[in-house]
Amino acid sequence: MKKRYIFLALVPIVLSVLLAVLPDKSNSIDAKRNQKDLKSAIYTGVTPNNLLLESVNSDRFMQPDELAKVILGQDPSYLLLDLRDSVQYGKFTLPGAINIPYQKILTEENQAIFDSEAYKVVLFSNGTIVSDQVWMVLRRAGIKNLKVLNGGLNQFYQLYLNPPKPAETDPQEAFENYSFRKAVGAHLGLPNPDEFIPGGAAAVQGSTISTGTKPTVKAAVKAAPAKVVVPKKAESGDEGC
Amino acid sequence: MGPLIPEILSDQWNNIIAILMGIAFGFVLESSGFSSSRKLVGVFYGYDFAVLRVFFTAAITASIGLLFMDYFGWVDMAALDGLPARVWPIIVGGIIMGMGFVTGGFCPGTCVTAIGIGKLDGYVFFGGIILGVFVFSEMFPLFENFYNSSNLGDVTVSEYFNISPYWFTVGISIIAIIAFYVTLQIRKRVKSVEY
Repeated sequence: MKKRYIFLALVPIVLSVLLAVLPDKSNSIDAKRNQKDLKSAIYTGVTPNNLLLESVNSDRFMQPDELAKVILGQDPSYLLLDLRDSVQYGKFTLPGAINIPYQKILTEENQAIFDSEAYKVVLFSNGTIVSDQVWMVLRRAGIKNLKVLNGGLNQFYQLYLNPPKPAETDPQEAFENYSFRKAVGAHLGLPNPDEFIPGGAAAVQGSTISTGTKPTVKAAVKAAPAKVVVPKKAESGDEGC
Repeated sequence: MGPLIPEILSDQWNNIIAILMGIAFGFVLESSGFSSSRKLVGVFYGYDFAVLRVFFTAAITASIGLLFMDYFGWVDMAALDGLPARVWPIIVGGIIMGMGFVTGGFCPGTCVTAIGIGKLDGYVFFGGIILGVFVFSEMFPLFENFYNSSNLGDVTVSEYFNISPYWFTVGISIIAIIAFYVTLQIRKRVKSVEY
């Protein structure tokens, strides 16, 4: 009995001394703490491992159809953030989007946008590259609640201006999606892509619709020509999803 | 649970593991006799130091274990956060808690264990906890200033005194062993109590 006590008493002491004399603790909490500069990064930001896991996780994307529902429902829990320059923003943007060119994303006056946990910020630009880069930078700065619009404005535009027509053998859901997308396009009053995307006609393949809308698009967005039709169709689209 | 082996166990397992750990914790607590208030208060009268031994052992086992897991990179210590060190509120709270412990004969966890084996005093004690939580919450604005005073932030002892956490753990282990030995000697001198 006595011997067992002595043995058990020695175990924690031996183990803790062993821990103290172990070499190469470069990866440990103590080493990290000693790098004073890194201290804030450790506690507010994200570790490289987690950043890698997050960046390959598709959760960080927002699919165009999801975004369309947010726009139609005027969901206040999302903030749309246009990362393009103000000229492109002035020509066309998504309804309700605010503009911060990606070069100015880390300036102090823009930080208040990311402080609130009440909404998610949806980053978008023409494609996905710029918004992905901005996502990475902001994530490293410890900002949460970020989403990236998958495919960017180009894909969004293409999807709603000229939605892929389902084949006759496709399930009912595909048809409902199709009519939902058409209705969204009409609701947004999407203008001619030539007006705002460099080389837009080529980017939007097989674009059949060519509206005569002028560059001052915002008015067109608000006018929402097919507004009367939309709710019904959007509803039918909702049922399918 | 979050930071532990994220590659193997995903976050979805958190609640399941928490329940399993809770069951294991309750079982060990009961089987080491912690559902008996006579055993629990023995530490104040000097006839039974099981409480001190168990909690001290748990503390050094956990700290050595965590530091080893940190060393091997299995757990991200930066992701573990403790309560902020509010010095005076914690001292006052500790005194109140200790008085409740010695008069009631349970601490919050062990009273649930006592309920588990059907002890009536466990139920009464648990009712007292709920009442205390209610009264404290209702009167919170009164103590709010004190509650938030002398806040040192989220620091550990080794951080605050700027010593290596490894040698700090060695020191705590030695203190624990000495405490075990001293309490053994005290118990030999105090008249043993049948319970």
